[in-house]
Amino acid sequence: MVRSPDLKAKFNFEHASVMLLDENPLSLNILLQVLTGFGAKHFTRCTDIAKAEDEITKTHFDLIIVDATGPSTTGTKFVSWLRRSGIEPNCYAPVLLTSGHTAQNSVLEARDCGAHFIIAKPLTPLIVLERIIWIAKEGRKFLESDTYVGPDRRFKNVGVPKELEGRRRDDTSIAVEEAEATSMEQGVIETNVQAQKVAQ
Amino acid sequence: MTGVVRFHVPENRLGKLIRSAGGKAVEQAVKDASKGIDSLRGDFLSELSEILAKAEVLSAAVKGADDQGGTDALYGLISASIGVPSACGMTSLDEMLVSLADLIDHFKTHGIWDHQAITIHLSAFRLLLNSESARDSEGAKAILVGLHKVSERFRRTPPAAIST
Repeated sequence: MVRSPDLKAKFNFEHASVMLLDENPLSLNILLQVLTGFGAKHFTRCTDIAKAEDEITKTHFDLIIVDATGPSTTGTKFVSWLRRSGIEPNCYAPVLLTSGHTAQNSVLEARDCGAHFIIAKPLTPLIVLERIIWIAKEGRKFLESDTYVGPDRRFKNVGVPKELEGRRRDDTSIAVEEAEATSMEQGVIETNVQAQKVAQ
Repeated sequence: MTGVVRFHVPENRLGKLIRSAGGKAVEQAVKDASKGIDSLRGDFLSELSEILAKAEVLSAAVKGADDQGGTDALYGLISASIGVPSACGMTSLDEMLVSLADLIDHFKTHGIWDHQAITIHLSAFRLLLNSESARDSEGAKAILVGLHKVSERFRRTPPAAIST
């Protein structure tokens, strides 16, 4: 889960190289002001996918923020392309997807394009910073398969849904099955598990 | 699953960078970012007036549910504007834009179009943008409740039963 960062905690964003892709210059400006306030100095601003794809081949980015608003699906197309591009290290770069509104027929596309996080607009500086710090701290695993390339989408292990079979070798169902052996006697449990005082 | 699935942990360059010496405290960074957004306020107010004028023209030009180009253009304009009013402190205007984007998306998804519902939203846009009293908490709340009722009418009624 994302937690609010400690307000006194320091972070250094000065040397981070950031790419911003947003077709709307107004929201691009808002994001630019937010990141400048955080101390970032190295930006590459793109308002179309062609420029963004070109820049990916030229600069190593530490963070990429992409807008996925509207019917054009430029943002999600770009992230999907980036993850499959094989252009290292950018193809593994942290990607934040922002969206003012996600159309009903684009929700799955946004989820599956390979972004680390989706942030709903209106953006507030604290929310954007929380997400950036969270991504920077976690170092999430990357997954590459025929159907998906991107950071592992499983944040917490809540088991495989009841009606489905697990897709991973280590997936186990949360449903409790019939016991294979007789239960332990309470006396045996108490002998093995000794309650201890815990320092407060 | 038939294909090969590969897991690996890429180098976390962003993590190394933000932990390096120097930088800012979170509190200061958030303050500086808010100050930066405030500096845009004047420009954004005139931009919002232009967006409203464009939306009214686009809305009037939509020929009906089949006009995909027209509905896409209006949806694109409205959804792309979400977040701009909040940068000017007009959160109620952002809520109105979300409501309108939801409504247009619903119309597009179900192949319907109701010009009056769109016009009501655009009138609310004009009121919230130009009247400070309408933007106060009570005035804005009443407007947003009204818009919510308009949108709900379409969500509850099966598309076939709505006359367009």
